[in-house]
Amino acid sequence: MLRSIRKTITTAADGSYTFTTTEKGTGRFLGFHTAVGTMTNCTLTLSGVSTHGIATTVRTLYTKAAVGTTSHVPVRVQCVDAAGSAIAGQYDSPYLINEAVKITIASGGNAKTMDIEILLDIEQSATQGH
Amino acid sequence: MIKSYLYTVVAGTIGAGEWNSDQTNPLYITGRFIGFQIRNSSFIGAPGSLSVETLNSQDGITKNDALFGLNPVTDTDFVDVFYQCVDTAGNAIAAQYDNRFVINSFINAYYLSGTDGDTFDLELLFDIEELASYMA
Repeated sequence: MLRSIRKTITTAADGSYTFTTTEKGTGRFLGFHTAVGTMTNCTLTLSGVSTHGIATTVRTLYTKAAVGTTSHVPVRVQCVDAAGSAIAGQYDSPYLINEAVKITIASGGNAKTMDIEILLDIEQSATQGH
Repeated sequence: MIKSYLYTVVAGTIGAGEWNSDQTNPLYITGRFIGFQIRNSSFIGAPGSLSVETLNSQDGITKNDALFGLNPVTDTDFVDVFYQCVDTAGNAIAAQYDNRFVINSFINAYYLSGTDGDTFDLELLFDIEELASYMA
């Protein structure tokens, strides 16, 4: 089912902001919207955070510097074949596997504002096999 | 679920040659905008322009995102509207397109620069999730 993460961001004095969802999800990371308030520029990173297994793993879903305009961002990753080779022209949404989503802002300026909404298509009843 | 929205545009409702979709009781939707069609158009003079956007005023910052525009308006068979996708570094991917998603927004459509009495049917098609929820 579709679920969204919505945050109104206000950066700290050093221009940073971090938020990690308390819930985890398994499914597709479809993309995100930003709506810029007073923030004119920043580096935005969205990550999947896995806390199961041997150690916490943070995996980048999207990262871009100079994010500073209202935008609609559908994110895709290139698919690979069974041998791990990239397949030309074949893309799909990044997947989350029992992961939380982390929002990180850097270089945004002191007390700057921006809204972000992330859209996920995740399965509430997805379970982990043993 | 697939859901359509029909607006019968009658220019002159908000100003000379203008029309705006009803926002008094907006329905916030989450899902995909698939496309649109325009039927039964009738213009008194030169057709005006149509803009359709999503509007989200629920957050701290009001956000508008254009879905499509048409200038001049004319009868149009159903059009499936696609937008270019980006990679994880934010770079546009050649030849990778998909329907645009809508997140917790309502639809705002407006017709401008027409003539009072211009009419047409605007039908929008979405694939929306009625039970979409927030993730904490």
